[in-house]
Amino acid sequence: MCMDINDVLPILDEKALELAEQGDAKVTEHAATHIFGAKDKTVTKIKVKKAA
Amino acid sequence: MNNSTFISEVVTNMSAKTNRNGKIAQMVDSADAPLTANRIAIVWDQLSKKRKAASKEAVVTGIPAKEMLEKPEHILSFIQQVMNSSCWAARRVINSGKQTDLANGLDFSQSVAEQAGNIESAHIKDVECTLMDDFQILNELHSWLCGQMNYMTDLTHCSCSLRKKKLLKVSGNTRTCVWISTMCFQSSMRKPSS
Repeated sequence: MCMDINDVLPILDEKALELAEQGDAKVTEHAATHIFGAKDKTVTKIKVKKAA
Repeated sequence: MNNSTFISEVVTNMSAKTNRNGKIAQMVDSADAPLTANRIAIVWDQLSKKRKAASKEAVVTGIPAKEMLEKPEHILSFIQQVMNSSCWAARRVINSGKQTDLANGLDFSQSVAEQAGNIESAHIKDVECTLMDDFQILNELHSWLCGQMNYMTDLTHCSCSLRKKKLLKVSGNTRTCVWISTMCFQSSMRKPSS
């Protein structure tokens, strides 16, 4: 079923706003909880396994 | 990672100043997070949100928003300043360990190391290890913030020790003064007398 473009635009606006809010929340969470400078343990483990 | 770091002490020292970096340092100190790097990131996030809210309000009311004195972009230069100050703190600790033994049983180097960065000893290897850990932390934070502010075109990477040098250019009768950035980690670690 085709929708009228005038009906679609407000939905898209709302979706864009929702995605922007989600993105902002993600950035805030990363800023508050991420341990900067910590070595990635998974990568190190893979490297150790490969070396063995 | 251990608890020894220069960053938290450097930020606390910077917060006593009244310049822009001092004000940012005060905001960092008052932010709620256990690690200083997270507190810096939180301040950046708060400043970004504050500016977004102000510009939205300006659109609604029609009154132009007030110019912010501390902008989110200033956090990048603040991080570089923290890294530079960490290098100076490391140098102070190393120099305190180099002093000649007066054979009186007193060693102040350990207390200097503890005060500057909660380091167990003033041995050059311990200090260098702590400084490199700090650089890794601040470098990742700086890179992440650069990624968040990709609208800026003149971003530079975080350096371990960045200083500005005055360069005098003479062409004909005109003399121009140019400031160039130099990375001199080795010289910042050197003793002043050498």
